[in-house]
Amino acid sequence: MAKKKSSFWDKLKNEFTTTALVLIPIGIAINQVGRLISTALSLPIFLDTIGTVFMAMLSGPWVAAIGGFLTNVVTAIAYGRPTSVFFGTVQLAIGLIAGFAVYKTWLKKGINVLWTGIVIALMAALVSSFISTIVAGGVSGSGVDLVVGIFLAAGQKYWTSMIGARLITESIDKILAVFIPWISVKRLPEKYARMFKYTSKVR
Amino acid sequence: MANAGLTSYIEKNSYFHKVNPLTKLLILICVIILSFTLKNFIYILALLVIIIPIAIKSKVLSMTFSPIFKLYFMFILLFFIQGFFHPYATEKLIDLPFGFTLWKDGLLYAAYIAARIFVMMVFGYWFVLTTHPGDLVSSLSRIGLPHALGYIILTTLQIIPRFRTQMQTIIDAQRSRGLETQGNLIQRLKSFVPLLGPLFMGSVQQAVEKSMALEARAFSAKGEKTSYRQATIKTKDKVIMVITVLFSISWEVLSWTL
Repeated sequence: MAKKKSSFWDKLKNEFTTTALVLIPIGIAINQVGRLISTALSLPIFLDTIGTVFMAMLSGPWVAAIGGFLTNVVTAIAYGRPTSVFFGTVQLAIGLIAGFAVYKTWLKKGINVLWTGIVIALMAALVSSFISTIVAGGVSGSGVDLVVGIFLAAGQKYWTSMIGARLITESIDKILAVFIPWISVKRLPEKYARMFKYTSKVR
Repeated sequence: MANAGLTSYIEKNSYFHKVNPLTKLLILICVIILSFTLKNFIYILALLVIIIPIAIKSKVLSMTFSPIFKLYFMFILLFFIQGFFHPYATEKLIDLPFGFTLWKDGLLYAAYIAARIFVMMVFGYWFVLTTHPGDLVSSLSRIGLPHALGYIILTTLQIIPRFRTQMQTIIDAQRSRGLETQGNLIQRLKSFVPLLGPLFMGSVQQAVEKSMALEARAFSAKGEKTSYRQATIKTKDKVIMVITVLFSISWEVLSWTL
């Protein structure tokens, strides 16, 4: 039993190669600039998880989960927003799910990009409703709060409104957040793709 | 590097700028724990009385309270959602036309949450205003933060501004090649790939090159690591730490016994 446990830790450690460690800051930076693009194209989506999914496709679920969580830790340190650390759990879950899909080589088939996006959106809606209810009484400080308000005013129940409003705003966002890194990894030159463990499971 | 990258840190010569980051972190953690466990919002808001002299002593008073300008809209929605639609509301305050009811316990709950968020934000903002991230990470790695994690945090703070410029360059370059960034929804959605593709390619290239550069400098080698910025724990840090912990415990006990 003890031997089995140590081998899991060894496996985990092997995931965090120097290349993977260097990738994490870059993935976080991509998460941060996603919003810049959606503003440039004037689309009402966040795209703040593309970096996390990108990390999942290059270096697997564990690196993506840690990187996703650290996105919010860095936001907390940079802007002095301790509450954002709690929402890091959402990014962590997204990293794990995307990484699991990559691990199972589901993303070799194009249609599964759609399904992965939907599952991620569902998970993100559930987790972020839960976290924002516990930490912030149901508000998260973004446009989604307005949609929640509309749902509630229309007579929906509390949890239906919380999760429903998030599903609507997140589904397109998350499908794109899987699709864009996916197409980029597919087109990655072989020279670079070789350097990352998980690219062969996507291409 | 002396450059702090993406932070709100303000270089000043004050008493609290020289206090060890771990001490300030302890204060912040105590405040976060208190704001989740205190009995009602009056006790949480009272914590603001403490931050005012501290912020004056740190010479960042007006900046410390700036989160209120980002938060007020969120608070309006919070009071709206919880006031009218609190899931477990029992006590009515007032009946409004069109079947809406304002709930008393909903409003109290909203006040509790608002106080919690505001106090956490104010203390958090004071923390980043007075703490250089380099000092924070170097003193955290002294008490056992893996140095890889410290590297990740510091590097990220450095490269985010650079990525922003890079992204803006890509947007401008693709626009000058005739990429549609206006027009109908489908057209704009199609523009995502040409915009993000170069960013992904460039970043993979960067990651590969950077990891080689790091390995050439023995990044994953075992042994004692040193850091450029170092903060020491002095007697005043120990005194502040003890006061913080004692105060937190007594405030907690006071809120539940009175």
